[in-house]
Formats: sequence, structure tokens, C-alpha cells
Amino acid sequence: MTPLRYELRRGVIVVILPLLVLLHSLVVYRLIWPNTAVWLNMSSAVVAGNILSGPLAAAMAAWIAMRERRRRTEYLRLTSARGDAAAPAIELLACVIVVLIAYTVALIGGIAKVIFQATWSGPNWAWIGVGALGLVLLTVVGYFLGRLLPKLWTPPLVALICYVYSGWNLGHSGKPWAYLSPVSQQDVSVFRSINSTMLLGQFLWYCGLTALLVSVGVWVVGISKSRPNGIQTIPIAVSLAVSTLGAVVVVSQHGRFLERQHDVAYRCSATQPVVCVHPAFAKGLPQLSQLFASLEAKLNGTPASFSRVEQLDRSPQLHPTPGAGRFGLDSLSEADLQYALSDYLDWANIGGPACLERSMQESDSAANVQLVRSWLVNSMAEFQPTGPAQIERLKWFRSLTEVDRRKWFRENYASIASCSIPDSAFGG
Amino acid sequence: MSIVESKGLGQRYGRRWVLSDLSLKVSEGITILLGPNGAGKTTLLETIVTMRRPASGSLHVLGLSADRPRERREIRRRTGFLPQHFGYFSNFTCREFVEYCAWLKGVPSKQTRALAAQALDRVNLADRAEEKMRALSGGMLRRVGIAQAIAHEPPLVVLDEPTVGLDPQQRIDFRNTIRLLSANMNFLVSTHLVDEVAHLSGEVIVLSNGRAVFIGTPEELERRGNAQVVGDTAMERGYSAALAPSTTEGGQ
Repeated sequence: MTPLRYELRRGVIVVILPLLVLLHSLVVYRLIWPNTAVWLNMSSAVVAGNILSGPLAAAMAAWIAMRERRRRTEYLRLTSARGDAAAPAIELLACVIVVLIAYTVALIGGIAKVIFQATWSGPNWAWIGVGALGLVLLTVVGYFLGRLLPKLWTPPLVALICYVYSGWNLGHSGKPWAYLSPVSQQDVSVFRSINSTMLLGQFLWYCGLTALLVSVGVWVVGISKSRPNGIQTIPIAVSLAVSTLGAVVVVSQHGRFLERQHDVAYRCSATQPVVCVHPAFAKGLPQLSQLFASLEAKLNGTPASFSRVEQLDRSPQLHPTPGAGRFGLDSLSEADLQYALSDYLDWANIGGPACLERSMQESDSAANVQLVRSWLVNSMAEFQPTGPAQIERLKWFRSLTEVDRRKWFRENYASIASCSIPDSAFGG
Repeated sequence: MSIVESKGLGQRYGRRWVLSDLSLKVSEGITILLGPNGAGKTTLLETIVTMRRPASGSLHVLGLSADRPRERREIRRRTGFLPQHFGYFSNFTCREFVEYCAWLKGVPSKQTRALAAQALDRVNLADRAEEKMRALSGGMLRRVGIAQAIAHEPPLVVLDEPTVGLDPQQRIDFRNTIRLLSANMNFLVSTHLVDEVAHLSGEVIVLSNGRAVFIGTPEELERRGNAQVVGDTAMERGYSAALAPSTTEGGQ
């Protein structure tokens, strides 16, 4: 369609499009787990990109909506044989196309980052689609506000309100109403699926609200220049009903965006101890096997020893196979792989969170446990002693051979596990 | 046949009536709508091109009722309009803008390009078709304004104060353009410049305080001013006479 093509080539859109792509991609790249290719994470990152591109899209739409007032082109709309809504429809359509192009480009970027290394599943298209609808809703809201308040300060105000609201809403993630926002950032877990009822509710809510704004806009245009009739109110009533239904569905989920654990066909190492990870993390298996083998060698002979560990969501509701240990893994970055060992130690109750809290309160015994933990997770070099006495204890511990350290660990395991190892255990 | 016919037409802004009980017939050819500032010229033209709905009375444009939605749409298809404050998209080229306007007037997308080229050619802007609107002078912009108003080849073109802000040479060019185009189209042109009448008009309507106080030919308007002393030319004297309270019954 000729006018649409020209609208899409207009200055502001040409400038905004790359900016939208840039901002959305920036969020996507920041939220994709480092060194990890997980489709679900990519889908989540693409949807969350709305937090930056959403306000910009809304501001752009508001600016374009103000054009009629700025350029004094009201006569074009009001003398259009295609109807009073034709010119605004073209403008709004151009805005929607631009934001969808930006969203798609960011999506393609996300896919490109994941596609060659992903080992499990595929993009969550339903969620990605709902995210796109959220962005469209923000665009329509921006356009609507631009029409309603055609002032120079409207676009920046729209962007600011949109951004502040989204940020505030993200701070209330988990509340029943939080998922009504077109911007959401959802931490995902490969062990949990997305609540499809919530997605359906969001779909209905976004679509309904978008249709409601559009039909109200058409109706307002209609009544100002010709007599309104009952037919014009039908789309309003229908979209109101759809959006209300969507809102009810979303709120009724009580903020439960992730479903319960679904069965996982683990990928496990062939060597002892057996390390099992979610298929999405299969690429990290060799490195994890090495790390856990080294940990197991140190824990051997203590109750914390293990023959099988399984990657799991950190939720306390999820449990490993009986007899197996568990660990959480956020990504395949070096730090997170290393952190998997700490996570296992937490679960095995060796200097776990409670003990760590005590060490913060300058409990010597708790600080001693942290020293031992640093050895267990191969990070003794990074251990920061808190005083001269602890420097001495670290020096003593380092002076032991690896065999002696393991022997010492087995002998002192009970006091280490209870977070009460005395200073005297470190060479008197 | 009357191009525009109104009976008891009224138009108001809030409680203030801008047009009241206006009955007139506009014939084919070029018609000049003359009147002082605030006479209701723009309101009348905007009502004719269906930007505003008549508040009272009836209005027929090209035989179509301005009060019935379907016929209003048809009126829009068959009329072109250049407003007093010609708004345009500065980053569109002339061709793009005229094409856009033609599309809004209901021209199918496939035909807009050819019609836009033809319209720009008619206003002698064919060589500027690919220039951005913001690069054009005031006179050229008016010509683009006419091009967008005639691109869909309407039987009636309505121009509101089209010569305001133009220098004398641009006015002459503008009038020539209108004269050439009037071979195929009817023009209803509003102005508050009395000398425009002598150069363009086949018919003159003088509007004052929302009422038609004179409808006739330029010659009749000149004759009306025979006894009037206000004005440098016969046309100005006729105009003054038409506006005088004693002549509010009109020229017919």
C-alpha cells in the first residue's frame, strides 16, 4: 500500500527503528545466560527486551500521533473518502510495523546467539508472540495518548511513565496483577515450563486492550463528524469483554508464571561420580564432571560424599532422585560452573547460607568454615582472610599437603558441618 | 446545475452561530467567495467539503446530501480541498505527498502514482516531483496544495484563501493555473482580496456575518457599487455596497 510505504520511510521512523533494535537487542544480550544456549532463556530475554524498547515505541507512536496537530493536516483526515480513521490507521499501522520489525530483528539476534549451540527444545513461540503483542499494546497506548494530548512534552512523558511503571511493576513480580503489564521480566528455569493459562490470559488481555483502544479511537473519530450508531459500539463491547476475560484469567493465576517441575531426561556423565544435567546444559557436562570429581575426592569418606549429583532448580519444592545430591546451575560461564560446587555444598550443609551469615557477624568458627569451603571449591587463592589470626590459619592450611588436608577435613567434618570448627583445629 | 446548494444552512462553534440560515446555489465554473475576516468563509468551505456537519438546514454538494454518511463519503471522493493553512509532511517528496492525498481520496494504490504525476504536471511542478516538500517556496507549496486537491480529478475543487502570503508574481501564476484547470473542473475559491474577483470569477458570493449578502456576477457587483463612495475600484465599491446593512437582502 503506497501511503504505508511512505509512512515507513518517514524521518522519525527511519531514526527510531535502529534505536529500537539496539535497545531491545541490548536487553536480550544482557539477559541471555553467558556461554549458554537455552531456548527458554532466549525467549524470556526477547520478551523482557520490551522494558527498553517499549517506552521508546510508545514515545515514537505518541510523536507520530501528534503530527496532525504539528503539521496542520487535520483536513487530510477529515476529507478522506476512505473514512476519518484512514489516516490515523495508516500512521498507527506504520508504528506497529516498525516495532514488530525491531522486535523481530532482536529475536533473530537472540536466535542467532543460541541456535548453533542449543541442545534442547526450541523457542517458546507462544511466549514470544505474547511479548510482541505487549509491545504493540504499548505502541497503541502511546499513539492514543499522543492523539489525546498533542503537546511537545507528551512523547517524553509517555516514555518516562512507561519506563517507570514497567520498572515499578517488575519490582512487584509475582503479584497476581503484575503480569497484566505489557513489560515483564521472568526468570526462567529449564526445569519448569511456562504456565500456558497465564500466556492465554495475557494474550486475551493485550489483544482485548489493543482492540479496545483502537475501537474507542475509531468511535471517537466517528461521533465527532457523523452520527454514531449501534454498530460502532459492538467492537468496543467485544474488545472490552475479551480484555476483561484476559485480566480475570491472568489475575486468577496468582502470579504463577512457571508451572511445576516437569520430568527431565537427564544427560549424565559416564564417569564417577555421575553428574547429571538438564539436556539444555549438556555442553557443560565434561567440565562439570571434572569439577565434581575433584570435589568428591575431597569429600570422600565424609557424609557429604556422593556418587551422583543432579542439576536442579533452586526451588526447595524440587527434589533430586533419592540418594543423589543436587546443585543449581545458572549458566555455563566459568563462574557459574564453579558456583555449582558451592551450590552442592550449600545443599550438603557445609558452610551453607546460615553459616555464611554467621561468618558475616565475625564469628571465627564460621569464617574458618568459609576458609575450608574455599579449598573445597578450588578458590583458596581468592579467599580473603579477615584478620591476622585468620591469615595465620590460612597459612597453616596452605602448608598442608593435599593428602593431609583431606585427612584433616575428614577428622573435622562434624564441626565443619555444624559451623563450629575452633581455631585450635588449625595447627593449635 | 448547481454544484453546491444550501437551504437554511447553519453552522456554529459552541453557542456562536458562524453561518445562519444560509441559502445559496453555486453554479459550474469558478466561483469566488468574498467576505471580510470572520464572515464565515472558511466554515462554509469546510462544511462543503464535509469537514464539519451542518448544524442546521440542508447542504447538497454535487447533488449529494452532506448529512448522509454514504453520500458524505462520495462528496469527499468528488471534491478536492486546499485549506487556508496548508499542512503537509515536510519530509515527503511532492510526489509522495500528492500520492498519499490521492489514496486518501479513495484512488486505488496502483493509480496514485500516475495521477500524482499528472497533477504535478498540471501545476508545472513535474520537475520538482522528487523534491522534499520542505525545500519548496511558498508559491510552489500552494501549487502542490492544488495538485493534491486535483490529483483524484474531482469535479469540484475548493480553495480557501489560496493566494494569502503569495507575492504578486506568484498570484498571477496561481490565477493562470486555476484558469487553465477550470476547463475541466469547478472551483470554489474564498478570498478577502476583492481584486481577485475581477481576474478569476464567473460568479461571486459575498458573505458577511454568516449570511450571503450578494450572489451574482462580477459585473453585477460592480454595478451595485455605483452609488458607493468607499473603495478605489468599481469592484471595491460594489463589495462595500454589498456589505452595507441596507443591502443584506443579497444581489439576486
